[in-house]
Amino acid sequence: MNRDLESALEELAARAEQSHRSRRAPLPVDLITARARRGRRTRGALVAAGAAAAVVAVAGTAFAVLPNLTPVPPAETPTPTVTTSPTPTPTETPTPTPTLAPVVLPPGNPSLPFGACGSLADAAPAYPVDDRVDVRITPATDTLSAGGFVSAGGVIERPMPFETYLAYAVPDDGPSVAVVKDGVVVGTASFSEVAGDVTAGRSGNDGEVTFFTSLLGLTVCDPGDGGPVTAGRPLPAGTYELRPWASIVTYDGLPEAPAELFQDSLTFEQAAALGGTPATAVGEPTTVTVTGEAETQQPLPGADVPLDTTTFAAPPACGAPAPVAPLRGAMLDLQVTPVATTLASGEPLAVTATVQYTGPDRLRFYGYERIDYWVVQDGVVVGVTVVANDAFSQYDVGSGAPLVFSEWGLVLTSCVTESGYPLSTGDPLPAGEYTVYPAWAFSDPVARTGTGTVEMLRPDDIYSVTLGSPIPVTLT
Amino acid sequence: MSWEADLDRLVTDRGPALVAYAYLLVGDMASAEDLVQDALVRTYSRRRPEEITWVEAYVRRTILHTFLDGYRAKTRFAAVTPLVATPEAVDDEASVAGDRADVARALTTLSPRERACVVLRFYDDLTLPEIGLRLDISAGAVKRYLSDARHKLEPLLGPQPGLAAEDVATITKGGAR
Repeated sequence: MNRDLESALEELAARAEQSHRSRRAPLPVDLITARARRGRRTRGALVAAGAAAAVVAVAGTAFAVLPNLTPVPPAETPTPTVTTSPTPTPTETPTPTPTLAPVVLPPGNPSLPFGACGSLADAAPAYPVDDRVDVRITPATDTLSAGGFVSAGGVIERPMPFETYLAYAVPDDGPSVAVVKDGVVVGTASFSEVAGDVTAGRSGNDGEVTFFTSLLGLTVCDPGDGGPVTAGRPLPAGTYELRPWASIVTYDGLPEAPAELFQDSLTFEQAAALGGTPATAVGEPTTVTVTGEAETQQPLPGADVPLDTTTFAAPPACGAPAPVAPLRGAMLDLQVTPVATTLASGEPLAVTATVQYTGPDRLRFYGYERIDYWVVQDGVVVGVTVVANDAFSQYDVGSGAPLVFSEWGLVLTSCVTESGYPLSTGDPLPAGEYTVYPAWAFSDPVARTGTGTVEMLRPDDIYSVTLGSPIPVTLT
Repeated sequence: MSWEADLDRLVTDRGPALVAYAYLLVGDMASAEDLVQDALVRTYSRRRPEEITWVEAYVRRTILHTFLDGYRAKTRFAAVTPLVATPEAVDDEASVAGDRADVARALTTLSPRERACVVLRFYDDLTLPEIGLRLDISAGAVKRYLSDARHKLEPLLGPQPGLAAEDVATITKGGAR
């Protein structure tokens, strides 16, 4: 059986058209006209009067009006952007001193599976490699100071294009990273400071892929054999390979991953016991160079920052007063460049943006894959770029490790409210002076700390936004 | 010509074709007619210039986005689980039979966005990047939706090589990954 979709859809449409012509009442054009007329009057009144309703909802007293911040580029040693206590100066390169004890790396042990501390880089992993699942890490830089960090993104997903369907389960804390020197795993890193043994099911692609960011500290791992290895010491100067990998469970023949994976937190062994096959996903290695030497690993930024669960904002409504910005919803800081610009009406406003979690530990949420703009003129929201879009993804971000949105361009368009949501009309705003409020839309933020998870406050029945500093824009 | 006359002419001349397009998205005639009405109201509520000649194309886009908005209001950012369309009864009034009935039923297994991608690909004959631009999602996301659609349709309809995601360049946007 093979149905040609193209001809089938054409025939279905033709039959539907004929059915509507011959067997259904014509569309009620008078009713449609009347509804449109009411809409035109309402919109006219809205523009004329300006809406008074404030829509930036901020709970409690933690209304955070923040000073302008210098954009935070991906850096090997980012500086914490919010803190109430003195912090170390991570940007200073530790100076090697003759008093430092020598670093002792683990020797190679050919009996260990790949990924274990001291295993050989070409050793077989504990479970067979399955290349139907890919692991990727993307370091933002290729050098770091000893004792510092490298900011990296990571993901476990099916490689594209998808030739076959596969239900599978992955580590909920993201990829593991084997740090290899001279063919031996001398360090191990992960996207969670303390990775747990929890698996997450993957059956499709609607919002299921999780993108991780983290500051990876490269330290000597502990082989656990009581030897002289200086475990925990920053890796010394040199070039290292970062090899991402993950233990996964595949469910060949099943149309969906087992429901139990979505109902409870199951360990790897429990996930495998649901009719799955344990396997290993491995990714392409990347190379980083460590410079200098350090006695101790720097603390992660945000470690001493109190968790602020109360600051949040709903998306500003069409016709409402300008929002107060910048505002760090869920402790997410949005930085955008350029800070002012002139462009023609209908021309996309292209920005480069970073979204960085400034709180302690990690934050998990669902977010858009884009930065949107709210456009204000004479103190009133007159435009927005948001469109109907369910293509959101789950993000799990570590403090100080930014998500980067590069050269993302959107035409500034007028605004309409549909089903309670501010949406773009698709109509470019005319020439004039505007103030653009960059914003990132997200939902369901949960802080993941060493002691558990904490739900961040959020608006009722609508998504949250974090707002960057407004940008003066002249449309010609 | 006034906007009212413009609307009247569009409904009279092209109303059935617009309903047919909406039918491909929603799968039953009554919902398709409601969808077209809503899209026309949205279109003509916006003081659009009367001289536009591409109004039908605009209405089709509005039908698409109105269709997705309906699900979006329920699901956007709220669901952890994948979007799952509720299988809808195939409308007898469309008089589908045989193979076409199979296809109509198979389409009901798709999520709204998967269905939109399939319609844009096989009815509107758009490329993956064009679909991405139309839905304002990345080409990579389009590949994922079409891949999931293939997974759901092939057990019902047989091999669908046309749903294999080509290796097209992904639009660079979104979070670092």
